[in-house]
Amino acid sequence: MLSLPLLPNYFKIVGWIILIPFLGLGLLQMASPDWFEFDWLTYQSSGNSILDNGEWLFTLEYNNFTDELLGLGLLAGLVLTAFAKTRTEDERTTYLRLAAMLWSVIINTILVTLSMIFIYSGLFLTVMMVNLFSILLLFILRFEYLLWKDRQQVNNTAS
Amino acid sequence: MKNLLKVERAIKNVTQADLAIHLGVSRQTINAIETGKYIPSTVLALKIARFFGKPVEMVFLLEETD
Repeated sequence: MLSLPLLPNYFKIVGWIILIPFLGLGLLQMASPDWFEFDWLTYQSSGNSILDNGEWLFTLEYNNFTDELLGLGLLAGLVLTAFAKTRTEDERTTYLRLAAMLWSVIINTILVTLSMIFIYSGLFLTVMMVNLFSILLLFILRFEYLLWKDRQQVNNTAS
Repeated sequence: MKNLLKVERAIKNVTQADLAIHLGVSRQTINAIETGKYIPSTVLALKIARFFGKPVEMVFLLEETD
């Protein structure tokens, strides 16, 4: 039987706990990137640190790492939620998982296509940013929906 | 593909949940098979047939359209 390389079930809870706050913060950051920044994540070159000796490929003068932190946190949450086993992972779950993955790739491609046709210049950068996370997000939504539908079916036939 | 899972369960008087636990799958899977929404793998079909002590063709039947 086909068994997929998945994380243990308890990572699912961890995934949701990371995903929900980071998704909220990520949306907030996207809505107003200038307003929403953590000050303690700002790097300001002082001119004499080891990063400023000119031997690096890039020299970093100033950067706020809020967006990097949010992006990495969001990815971690998405990956853990998407790739942790369900409580009863069996062949039907595997089937639903792969079906949901195919669905999310198709829908994502359609969304990217439409964005390419209808969205231009600066706003397209936002589309590309959202696209970094959208496949996994669509997958999770679709997979959870399919599992929910299956559970509903059981409840309906049982009653 | 048709199946007589529900009938066999009634004869043996086992619930979907009991069967699911015995086979190591979820209750939703048994339900999906019974309602014809999901075709089980050969391994699972054989396991189900073995549980009821019958050959697999007695539980799962091909249809005209298959």
